[in-house]
Amino acid sequence: MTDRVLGAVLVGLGLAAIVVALGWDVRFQGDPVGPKPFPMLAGALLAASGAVVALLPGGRVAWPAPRRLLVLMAATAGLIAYALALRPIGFLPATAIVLTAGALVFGASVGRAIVLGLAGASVIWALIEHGLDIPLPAGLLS
Amino acid sequence: MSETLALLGAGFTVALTPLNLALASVGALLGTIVGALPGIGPLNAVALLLPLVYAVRLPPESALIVLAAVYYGGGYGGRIAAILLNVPGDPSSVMTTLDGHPMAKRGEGGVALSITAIGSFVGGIGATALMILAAPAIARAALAFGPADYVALMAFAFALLAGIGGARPAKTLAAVSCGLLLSTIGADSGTGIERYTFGELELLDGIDFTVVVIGLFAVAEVLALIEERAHGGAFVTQVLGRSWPRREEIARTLPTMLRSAVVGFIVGVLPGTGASIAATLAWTLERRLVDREGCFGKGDIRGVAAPETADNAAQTGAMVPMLALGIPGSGTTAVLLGALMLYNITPGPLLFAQRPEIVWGLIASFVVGNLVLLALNLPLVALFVRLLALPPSVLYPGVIVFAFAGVWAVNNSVLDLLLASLFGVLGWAGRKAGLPLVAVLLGLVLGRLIEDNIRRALALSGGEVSALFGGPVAIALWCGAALLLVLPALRRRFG
Repeated sequence: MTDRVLGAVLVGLGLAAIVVALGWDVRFQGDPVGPKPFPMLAGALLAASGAVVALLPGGRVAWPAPRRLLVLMAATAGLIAYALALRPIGFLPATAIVLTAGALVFGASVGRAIVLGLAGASVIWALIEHGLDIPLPAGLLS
Repeated sequence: MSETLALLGAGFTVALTPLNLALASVGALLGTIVGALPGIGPLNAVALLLPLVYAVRLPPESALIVLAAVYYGGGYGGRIAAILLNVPGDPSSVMTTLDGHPMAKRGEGGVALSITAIGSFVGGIGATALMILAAPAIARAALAFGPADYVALMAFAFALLAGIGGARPAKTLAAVSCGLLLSTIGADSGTGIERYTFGELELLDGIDFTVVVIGLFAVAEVLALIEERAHGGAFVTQVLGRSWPRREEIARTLPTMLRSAVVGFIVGVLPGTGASIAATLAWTLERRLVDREGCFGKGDIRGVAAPETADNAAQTGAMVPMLALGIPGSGTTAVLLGALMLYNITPGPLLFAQRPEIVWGLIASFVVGNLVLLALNLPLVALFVRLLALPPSVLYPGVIVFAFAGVWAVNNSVLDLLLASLFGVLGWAGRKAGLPLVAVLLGLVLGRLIEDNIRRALALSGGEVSALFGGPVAIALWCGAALLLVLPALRRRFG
């Protein structure tokens, strides 16, 4: 089943790549090839190999149970929230929250997780901001 | 030969500057630590470090030196969990568990660890010596390659990856195509046409390589660990025993190490094969050659030495096609190649002639780094063993933070962070479905080169497509590629 879905997705992606490429309006091309053929070729290779995957499926894949999948989706949502929060609230606070939440996901106790979050965020922030001299967003602390 | 020695000497003057010496040592130490930590692996370590190295504006040769040191340092660290816990940290350490863990159970864990440190050293140094002989010659031969030959060579590399890389060929080709398509995102260099940018200004320069690598590997790895509910954090209670091998133990394993170094190097040079095949092959070969009593698999010291030596030799061997041809032989060398491209350096045979300080500085740093690693690993192994007790609640959230900080450092872009998260989810799902992510990486780093070479070849021929198959080198490589793709299927059907 996994291979059928995967194959279908790959075929879809490959065809979409070709269709999008066909729509490019090339008025001038500096060489005999131009920008279109290579992506179309890659899209065709993707669609063809995807078709092979879908038509000759391999073994079964054990996907996580629904509850575990929910945890993974929450983790993904957490990643997105971290990305969006980094600039407004700043690296240090956002990272403290992420490290605390992450420690909880991996089974630390609440108290320990909070300590880990605060200490870990401070250490990593000091290391990157001052040790490597790479500026990180200050956010609320600016 | 004397010319090579002069270049190598010049390389040492690069590798031994205080900055580069310090970077090689720190990288080697960091690599051992990361290799010893459960579930991270050298590729992730190099991926996490790449944006930081770039953001602090290290010169390119220094960046490569530290990244490469992390890479082969990881080979030293990977054996610790394999021997003491029977947990291979990465696929290439699987063979080390076979004889390493029985030795540890007998109370000889310390000897197994020090012998593998010596083996890793012999593998690393031996392969570096072979590389010094082989790489310049390969690069010189490749100077005669025209654009069409290049296209054929890269097709051959993909076919090799698909034919013997371990995953299903169709899935490997699909993954390669995904990488090729990713490489086309952004404004086309020839015409300025925007390809797959969907009007997003930030995508005009394409998706940054670091974003894809960190997403597909580091972020995906943490998601996989959440899925497995990794608990880890195992405390090692075993007695290590004496940690220095006896002289006769070294004498007994040395021939095995030398043979395994050669095997590992050759396997490493072939693209798409990599360290796990090298380790398996070396172990099997040694069992055939020297195991008269049937001790392999029950804690034979030669059975520990063989895979660990071959593993490190293969890692170094994988550098040969990367440096001499600009074609990476493994996921990690693909990342190193991506690092060169971040610095606008086009890898390939010209690199030896145009940027000798990079190539020879890097090669000389292998010697330095391996010496540092041997010096670190023999006395400090008990310290590294403690790392196995680090709980996942500390480790894996930290990986995410470093991943995000690194992606941020390159472009200060929120979109990049979102893309890295997206690639993380795709990487997790793709890996579960059997899509080889390393192939995506290879497609991504080689995509632009392939397209440029195709366009150059057809510009030379005035649009005549047959030019891609002109010339003996190109024809031979295309035939080889076709054979590699067809043979496994034929063998399954008739074999």
